[in-house]
Amino acid sequence: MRTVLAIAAKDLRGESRARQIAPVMLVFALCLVFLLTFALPPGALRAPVPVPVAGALPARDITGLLLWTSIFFAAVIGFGRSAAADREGSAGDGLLLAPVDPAALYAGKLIANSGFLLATQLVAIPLFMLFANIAPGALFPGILPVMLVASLGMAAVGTLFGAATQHAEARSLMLPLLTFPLTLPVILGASKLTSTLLIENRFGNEFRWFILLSVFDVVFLTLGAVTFEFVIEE
Amino acid sequence: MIALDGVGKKFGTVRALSNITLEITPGTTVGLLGPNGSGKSTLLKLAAGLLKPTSGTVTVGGKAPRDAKAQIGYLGHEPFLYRYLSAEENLNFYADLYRVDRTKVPVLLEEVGLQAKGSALVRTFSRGESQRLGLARAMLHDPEVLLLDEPFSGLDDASAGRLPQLIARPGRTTLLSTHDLPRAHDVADRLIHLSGGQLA
Amino acid sequence: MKKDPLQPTQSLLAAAFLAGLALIFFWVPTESFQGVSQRILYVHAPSAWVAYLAFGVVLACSVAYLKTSEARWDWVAHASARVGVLFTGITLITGAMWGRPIWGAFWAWDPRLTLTLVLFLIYLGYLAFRASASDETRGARIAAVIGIAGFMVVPLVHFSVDWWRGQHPSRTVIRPEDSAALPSEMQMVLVTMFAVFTLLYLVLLALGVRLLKLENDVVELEADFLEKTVITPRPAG
Repeated sequence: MRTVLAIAAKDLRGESRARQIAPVMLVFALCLVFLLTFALPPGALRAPVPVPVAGALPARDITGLLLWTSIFFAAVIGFGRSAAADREGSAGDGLLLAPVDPAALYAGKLIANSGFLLATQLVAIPLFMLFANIAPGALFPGILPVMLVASLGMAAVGTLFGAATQHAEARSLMLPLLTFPLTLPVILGASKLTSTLLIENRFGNEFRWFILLSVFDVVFLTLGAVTFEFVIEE
Repeated sequence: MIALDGVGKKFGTVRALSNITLEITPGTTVGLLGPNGSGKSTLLKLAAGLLKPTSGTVTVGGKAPRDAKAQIGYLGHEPFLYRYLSAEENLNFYADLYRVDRTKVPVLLEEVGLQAKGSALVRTFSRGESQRLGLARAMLHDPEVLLLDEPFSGLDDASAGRLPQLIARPGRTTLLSTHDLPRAHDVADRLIHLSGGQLA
Repeated sequence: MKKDPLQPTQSLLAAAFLAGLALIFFWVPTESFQGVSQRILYVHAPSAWVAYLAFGVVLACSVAYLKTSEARWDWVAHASARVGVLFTGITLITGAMWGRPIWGAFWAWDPRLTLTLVLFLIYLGYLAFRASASDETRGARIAAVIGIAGFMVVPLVHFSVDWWRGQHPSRTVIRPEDSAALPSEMQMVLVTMFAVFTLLYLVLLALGVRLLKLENDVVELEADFLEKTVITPRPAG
């Protein structure tokens, strides 16, 4: 546990000086949010539009997807940066030399990565609501648990594959390529929960997504903890 | 203390080491000599457990290097330090990983002559300062086995001259690579020559 | 020249495949609802089966590789992933060909289709990673982790794409997979094609593993050759 905290504290403290992860994630997320909301007709995300075609989604239904797609891509950039910090000066090799459990390394980095992601969301989501003309009360505080389970899931995958792709030749390309299909359930789940919260003011029937996301978190946290040693060793 | 038995290491099709058998007596300091590309760094990394041999076995104190991590201190070409942490924070971090009391950190900083720069970020350090801090990191947990890859590089004469007494501890086994023959004679009890990945 | 042990199996496969095609085109009755386009089912469904089988083998061999570090498990996993991606592609293409006349569109966001597409993306990523890994053994180990993660996410993706649209009535289309309702000749041809495709998978897998082993042998021979041609070691200095 001491190791886990030491790793997480090291990453958070390094980032508080370098500021290369969270601000970059935030700016990137805002660019995407700006572009995506700008593309829609004014007020489209607010008004309860009747369903125009059978089977088609009302515009408000895609609000969540716009938001979480932006967050996902910002997250991938952040995870890549965070893993690269261990590669610079081969500092990560110092971790390999130390007599610590690889699962603890994974857990420490996971805590830091989830922290960066949550911090980014805490700024990006209110700004998104501002752009999309959504009243603050429509999403907060209900979205907080969504942020938590989604961040943990994305970070579970991103921390594992962020480290794994560091030694690949096209690492900045490989990371989104691998994480996108694997994280799809998280993106869909968080999107559906966000849209439902916005439309119905409660989760209702869609509460089942929380279960799916929690299962996802448990599965990938376990996988990451068990296989982290295989991706960091020579 | 450090034993290599028929060790070979290939990187893809390139063979870095072939069929090295070597035994280093506990408590001795051995200098590893050889030109660039002769396999010195590879041999040290194998002993540190950072690389795995393609053939043969490496043991440190009778165990595989990865099971002897707490007994091994290693300093490579890179200091393994975080650029955005201060010298003191770096050592505190490694102290936590090695479960060493943090009170050792100021003592070590003084030993390597960096007491005045404890709170400076490592990214502001010169090559020699990084090297000395890297050495402090490698010795933080008072390892029985010390593996140093070109420890004199980047050090000024004064620091380089202090290095032998700095790394000396009773009973410690040290393997260090260098191409500086006089310094190697100074510090080592025995010299080993590597050439083209083989013992010469 | 040693006789290839795979040769008889390959001949058997060729004969079985031709016989299967003959059954599909000349023997099995045309389905009354969907007409002739339904016949693509006899390729589509077995392809999907092979794809899932292949990815299941990737999972099992990836676990075995991480446990033992024996290169042969990695070869089987790698070869199986290649075959799996190929058959996932065939599944998607034949599905689209069937969808055009029946659904009126090449692509529909049907949950099963979506899941297959996601699998395709995951294992394309697996193969892309293998191509870009700079270190052979580390690359193999990481690929094994991707192979495990890729299969573990399948049920989660399944539920999420199934729930995403909610229960819209448009989802109750005629499913080609509802084979229980098929007449017995159709069932028989379908079962035959499943067997033929499974054999096809095994042959392709064996050939793929052999190819990877040969590639590895070539690399080792090259290394040995380079070593022996170095006459004098470089001088010490």
